[in-house]
Amino acid sequence: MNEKTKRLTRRDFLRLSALATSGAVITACARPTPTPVVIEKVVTKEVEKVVTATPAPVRELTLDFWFGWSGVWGDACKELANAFEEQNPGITVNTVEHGWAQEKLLTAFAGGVPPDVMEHYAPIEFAAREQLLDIDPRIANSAVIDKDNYFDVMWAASTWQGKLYGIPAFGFGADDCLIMQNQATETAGLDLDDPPQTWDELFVWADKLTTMDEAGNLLQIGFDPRDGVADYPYCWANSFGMGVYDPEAQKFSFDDPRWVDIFNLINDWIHHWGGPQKFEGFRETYGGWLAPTSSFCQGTQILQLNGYWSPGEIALKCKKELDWSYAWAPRAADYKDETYQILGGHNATIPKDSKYPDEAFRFLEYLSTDEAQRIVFFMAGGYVSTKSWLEKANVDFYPGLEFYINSPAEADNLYIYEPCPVDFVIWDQWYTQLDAVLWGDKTAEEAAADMYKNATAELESALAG
Amino acid sequence: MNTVGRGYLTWSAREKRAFLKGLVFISPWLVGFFVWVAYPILSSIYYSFTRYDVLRDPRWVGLDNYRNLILGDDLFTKTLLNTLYFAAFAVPLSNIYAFLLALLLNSPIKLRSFFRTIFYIPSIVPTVASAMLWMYIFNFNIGLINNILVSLGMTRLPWLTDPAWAKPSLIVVSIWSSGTAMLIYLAALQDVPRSLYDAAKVDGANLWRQFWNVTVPLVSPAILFNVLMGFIGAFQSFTFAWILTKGGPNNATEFYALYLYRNAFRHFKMGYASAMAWILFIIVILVAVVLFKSSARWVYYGGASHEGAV
Repeated sequence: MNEKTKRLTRRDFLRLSALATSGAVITACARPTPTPVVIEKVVTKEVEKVVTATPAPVRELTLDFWFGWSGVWGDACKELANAFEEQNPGITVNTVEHGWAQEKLLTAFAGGVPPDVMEHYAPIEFAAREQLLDIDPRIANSAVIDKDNYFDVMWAASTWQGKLYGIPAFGFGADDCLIMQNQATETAGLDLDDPPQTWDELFVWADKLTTMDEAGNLLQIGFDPRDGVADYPYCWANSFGMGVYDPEAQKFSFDDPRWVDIFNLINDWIHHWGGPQKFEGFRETYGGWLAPTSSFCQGTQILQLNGYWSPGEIALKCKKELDWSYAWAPRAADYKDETYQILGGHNATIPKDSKYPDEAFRFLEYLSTDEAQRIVFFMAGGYVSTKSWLEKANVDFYPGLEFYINSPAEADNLYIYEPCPVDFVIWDQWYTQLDAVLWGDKTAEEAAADMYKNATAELESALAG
Repeated sequence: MNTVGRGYLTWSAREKRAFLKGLVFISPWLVGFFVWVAYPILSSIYYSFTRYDVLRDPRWVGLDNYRNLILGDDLFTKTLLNTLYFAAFAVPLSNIYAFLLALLLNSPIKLRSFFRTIFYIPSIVPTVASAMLWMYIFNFNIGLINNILVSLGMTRLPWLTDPAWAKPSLIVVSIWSSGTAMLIYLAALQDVPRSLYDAAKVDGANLWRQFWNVTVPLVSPAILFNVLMGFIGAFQSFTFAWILTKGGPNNATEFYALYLYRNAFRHFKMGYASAMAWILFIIVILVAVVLFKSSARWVYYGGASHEGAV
């Protein structure tokens, strides 16, 4: 079956959704007796059970649902809102793209008018500042959300000091996989069946895949260590066998000497291929990640580390004549035999000043269903790694998806983006200190020491309240 | 009715009624001023002495924010130096450019109105749109300037992608968008009496002496105004740097206002950011004082003394 016949268009999907939900709508419209209706059949590896929920008494209200994305992901979020509205007559969902603009979110929270449901990838920043509702008691009483349907570590990402502040939703899965463009790799004489397993091996591959013009400008990049999730500190830490932050000890790992090795490794790479300016110029031209114009989608970057959304986004956005293969992310030589995977993604949360927390939680329940997953999967290419979804998902729908679906269970080490109250500080410190090394302002030792000192000072300040 | 110089208590009932009526009429402005300007300004003084994340109550920390900024924050120093560098070059160069342009557009050239419009357009184009335009002009591989350089057999320049070039590039953008200053200079130039040039010619002054001894002194109040406003604007530079470089590379264009924004909204440190705002305020005040003090030497206020004019 070729890709064209496999793909479900948005129109097809909406038509199918309308058919599938019309029964539920008719049932819900048949007011006044709130009888239990089947919401979802949840299948886990251990049990199969039919969960039910009692429709709440209908009342007219508007839920404010804020999410970060525009584009296909934003469209998927709007479609989730529409589908929820159809199943819950009387409830209108007002969707707003917040773009993860902190000034927008902070002023809304500070002004006491936050959304009723907020999507965010760093919910602990808000939870640690007492802005989100602890939803653990509600989940315990929920007939829809089954905690066992998720990998345990996924809940840890939205847990702060023993309380749970969000559910994995929209997209939440394996983040670190090596994606290799088949044509260029084979042309370079590299064996896709024997992909690089260490950073050193990846370096050899990248060297063979990088080309420059006479002036030393990059024409094609084998691998950009600052694109995709390789631009994340977590990717490097995990590949060196450590995490970034220990939530129990409330301590960063930046004083670990492996961070010095990481800085030196990236610095050596960048300077081997002409220095940071050459890479900045290349990125400036194409943009990064998986934008349609990005070097990776255009085929001028051959290798990239990227996450669970990649198979879907590549199918939706990248050059159709190219093909890609997927493999474990490379590791430091000492960890060559230990594959790793990191689960990360987005959470649906309820601000503590939500006007309608009951209905907001009802929306969260909907977001946990496989139906919601299907909407995101077909419209944006993402998914949440729930066990029921992974078992049902058509892994052939997007080439490469199977690797992402299977790798969390198969990895020797499974990490998460540890919940941290100064999440943004981690990112800013990482970029600042890495830049300082690459541009020659600091040694790797100085950068690692400053990263530890600055991040720890910010953490202590945040914890002090 | 003349109430100037007399206290409220000595006013007649009619005068008091008129005063109160006046207050009522300007009350929308007064309310707006106190709620949206005075209160936030006064609050930020208080917040600058607190640890305040906006979401929880502020906690008094005394001078800690100021101490940490000045003694313990390398990035603060770097952003301050970035901003001073930018202001030191952008303000004089923008003013020289705007002044020369105004001189040109004040002379009897063909299509003068058209050119005046063309050169003023950058000031009315939304900043974000301008920034997007410059993004393409400065692009390393596909940018307009580098394509011209390459076609002339020269090498590409890393306008926005190298710390050494990024600030000068933003200064170029700043110069390009100095249409408002040009307009003020143009108005000032048109205010210079022709009779002074005629008298200078009679005295044997050449074009340079006319420019230096007639034009510049008479336009000097406008120069003071434009330079002062230019410094205030330069110290608050945000949008172009935010869109074109995001403060990079290697924080080379991380200006003061960008870092203040990051602290306030990204790092939840509104108290720290408030302290930054007040330090910036003091710097701007110092620059303004220096400019005003020095203006007695170089600004011509007609027949009035400097003090009288101010």
